[in-house]
Amino acid sequence: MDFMAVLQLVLNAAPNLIADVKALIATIEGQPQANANANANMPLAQQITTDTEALEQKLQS
Amino acid sequence: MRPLMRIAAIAAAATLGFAVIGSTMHCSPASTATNSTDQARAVARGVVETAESAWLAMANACVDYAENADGGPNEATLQTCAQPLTTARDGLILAGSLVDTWGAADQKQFACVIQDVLVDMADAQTTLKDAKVSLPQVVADVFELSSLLNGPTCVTTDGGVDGGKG
Repeated sequence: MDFMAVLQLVLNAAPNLIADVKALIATIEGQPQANANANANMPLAQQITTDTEALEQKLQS
Repeated sequence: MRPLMRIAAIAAAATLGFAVIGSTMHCSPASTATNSTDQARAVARGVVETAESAWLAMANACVDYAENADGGPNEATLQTCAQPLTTARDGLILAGSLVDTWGAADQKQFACVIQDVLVDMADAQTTLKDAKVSLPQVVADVFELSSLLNGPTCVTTDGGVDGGKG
């Protein structure tokens, strides 16, 4: 197998590798990552309301 | 193509490729041409988000202390730190909505709103410190960070600096 063939193999595998790494990161980070993504598009006031709601209820209990 | 020529061609192509990548990926200072309104909003957002982190830390500390105090759950301590934290939360949500819209009136109102939030958080901080509860650095940091606010300051209608309440 010459250099070009090896290079071609690596280039072909790259998209899969990147997708696998992304999936692995998402798995490791789990739900907080999903929440962070949701927060990214949320107005600041709504983000604060959501983030602090559970603790506020505990403070009031 | 002969093997030697092929290797030479690959090496040349790789060198060219790295040169192109290198020329497009170098580090350089970001543009400093920043609109002052945008900059003020960015700092305001930083203060509000840091204040939220500090609020979460203090609220957690308050609940933990009240539930695990020596001699059983301590309702009095919970009430003492919960009251200013609840008021601070309302102010934080308001401050967040001002950052979301960030018009001229929002910017004027923001200074007094965030000042009130910090006064309430300082009250809760005092209660927790008195109870010997250690707090994370973000709590102290938010008070330092707020000094960087470069928008309008909180001034009362009589021209004096507002005390934070009222």
